[in-house]
Amino acid sequence: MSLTIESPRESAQLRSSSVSVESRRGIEPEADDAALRAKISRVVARTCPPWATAQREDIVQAAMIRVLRVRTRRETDEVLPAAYLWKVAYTATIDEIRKLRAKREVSLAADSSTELVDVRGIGPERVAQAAEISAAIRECLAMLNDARRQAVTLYLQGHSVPEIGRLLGWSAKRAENMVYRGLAELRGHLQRKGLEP
Amino acid sequence: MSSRINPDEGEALRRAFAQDPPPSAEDPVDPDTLWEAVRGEAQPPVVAALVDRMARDPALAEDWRVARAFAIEAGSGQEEQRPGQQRAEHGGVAEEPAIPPSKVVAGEPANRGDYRRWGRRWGVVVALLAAAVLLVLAWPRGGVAPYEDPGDHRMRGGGRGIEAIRGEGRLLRDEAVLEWSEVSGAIRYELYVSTAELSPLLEDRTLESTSTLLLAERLRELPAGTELLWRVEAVMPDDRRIVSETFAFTVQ
Repeated sequence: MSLTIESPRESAQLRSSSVSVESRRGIEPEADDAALRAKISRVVARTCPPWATAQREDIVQAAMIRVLRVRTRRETDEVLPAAYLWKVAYTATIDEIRKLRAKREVSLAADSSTELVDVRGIGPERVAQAAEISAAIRECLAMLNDARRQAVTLYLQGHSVPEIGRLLGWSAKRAENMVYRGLAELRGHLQRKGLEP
Repeated sequence: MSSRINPDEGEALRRAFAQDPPPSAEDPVDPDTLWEAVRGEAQPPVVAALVDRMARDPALAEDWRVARAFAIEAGSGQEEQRPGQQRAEHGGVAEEPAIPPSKVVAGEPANRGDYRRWGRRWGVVVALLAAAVLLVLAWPRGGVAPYEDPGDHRMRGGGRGIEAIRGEGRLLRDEAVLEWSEVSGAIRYELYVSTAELSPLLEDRTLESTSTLLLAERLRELPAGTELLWRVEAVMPDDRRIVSETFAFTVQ
């Protein structure tokens, strides 16, 4: 993937892990570029889809470029809130992942013989099996009622029960009930399909 | 309240759910909407619509995981990530095992992160009480200086938030007027209307007044009872934006 770096200053900042006095102007004090890059790398590594693993560094690079652009466009010495910089990095990451996803979809459509890509080295059979289970879970989720489906989906995405309650405007008790009953029903549907993940 | 949810089988399902997805046929969700949802800033019906779509759309599930991870780093995610949760995200290896939900008692902190949060909450309560005392003491002697907004790029809610005046509940499709409270200093307003599934329906970025009549032609295609969502962004002279909450109405 080619990335365009607009200004020499951005380019220099990206190449160097040290931060000049000038480049620190208007930057949240605790975060120099290297530290921010390391943090973004960790988050991207944790959440980057398996099929985009090979482009992980490009994604981090794109996020850093976007953050640096925001910083360099600031005309005052006002410190940017860390939360804002994280949102900038998030937006860039999502954009990159979506671009990669679109390219992947085009290539999959063009080459029907390559339906599943074994990017994790776990073997084509297990890749196919994993995709089949994932699809089956989605089919079974569709069979649940709205509340159970929403609760279980958030649970499968890694949210805790109290968090599910807060996001959906429910009490913790209701959230727990919906997750518990939803998981039990989901399991039942999967078993009827002969699957036990 | 002790949980009846078995953490091990939940974990297996989480791993399976996050497996390599097929291509998505649906348009991607606006990243801002996703960000607000994972941060708990969106209205529950908006979150519910997104989650419903996420249940069938693997690409959105991937995007949600990314948004959530960044929101947690931004410091105001819904919840600090428990160490073991990394396993749920594309098979990553956890540094520490998660505390099983069965060990969690509702309303009580379960780990160091929870204790820190509870500590912060108490800190906030104490600070608010102290502020209230100061406010009462200072009020009779000339009042209190108005709160100065720190000037974030986008602001939501609060005293300067945008309220819906018309455009909630049931609206007739031929006279669906959306009206909102004026934001002092705004140079224009941007209005976004979408379906409950978050597919964009109408958009106007050039509004100078605080109300608009929706195009009946666009609404006529929708069956009665269709729920639509809308929000307004007030654009300030310095490009800052004040974003309304998301409002909902049903087409009649």
